[in-house]
Amino acid sequence: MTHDDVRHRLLHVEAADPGCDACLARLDVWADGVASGLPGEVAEPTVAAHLRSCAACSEDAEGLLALVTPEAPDS
Amino acid sequence: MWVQRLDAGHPDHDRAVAGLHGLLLGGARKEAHRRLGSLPDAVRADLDDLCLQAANDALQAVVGKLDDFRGDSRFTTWAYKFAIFEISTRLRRHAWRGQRVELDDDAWDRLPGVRDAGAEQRAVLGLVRQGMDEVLSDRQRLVFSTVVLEEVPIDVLAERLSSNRGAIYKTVHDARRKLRAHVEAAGYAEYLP
Repeated sequence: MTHDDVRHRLLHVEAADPGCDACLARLDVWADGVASGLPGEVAEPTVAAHLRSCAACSEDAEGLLALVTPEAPDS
Repeated sequence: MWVQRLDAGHPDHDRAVAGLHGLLLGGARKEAHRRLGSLPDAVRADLDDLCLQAANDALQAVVGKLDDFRGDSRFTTWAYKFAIFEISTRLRRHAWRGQRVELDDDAWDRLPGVRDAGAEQRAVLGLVRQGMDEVLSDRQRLVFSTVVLEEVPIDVLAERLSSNRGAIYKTVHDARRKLRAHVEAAGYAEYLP
């Protein structure tokens, strides 16, 4: 972990961060958007902002995305 | 289709509820399997039970919030998020079961890079440490120290404080904003991330 990482851990905030409850309320929309190929920022900007700051919601978002993303066909 | 079938008056209601429970249980199991590598043995041993509990509570949440579903996403995606939330919270809390959440004075020194920090970095870190004492409330100091310095998962601290993820996260967020203002007021705004 670099010095920048430490400062990030201690002091980073996202201006558009709506918090966990608002993130969860729109996480399904974000997941369907990302699963269909949209960047997270486009699918749901405020969810994307929150996921950059919240480890718990970010981990949950990864799990939801894994559930709803179609598996690539075997080549 | 799901929403109509889940209506209490629909002739297919019972089968729809059973089908939804199966869907949620499958989702919880897949998520638990995805996290398997990071789970302690004690959690792995209870995985089936934890997944079932998560599916049961997720089912209650989905049925209870059915009127909130606006169709902005697929119904299954909307439902899955409750299963993900329930199983992830359980896995984190179960992993910490029996462990005390303790704050110690050395937590600060264990932050990576603190000991070999340069002058500006030391100044900023010093301001954060000072700010924790001077500008944070007792509650903010406790939550910030536990989550940010000790790296205790938010869901675990929320359970110990009879709170919830959103409230703990907001406390950390507000604490960071106060600390940023303290660093900025001392003339070190350019070092803020």
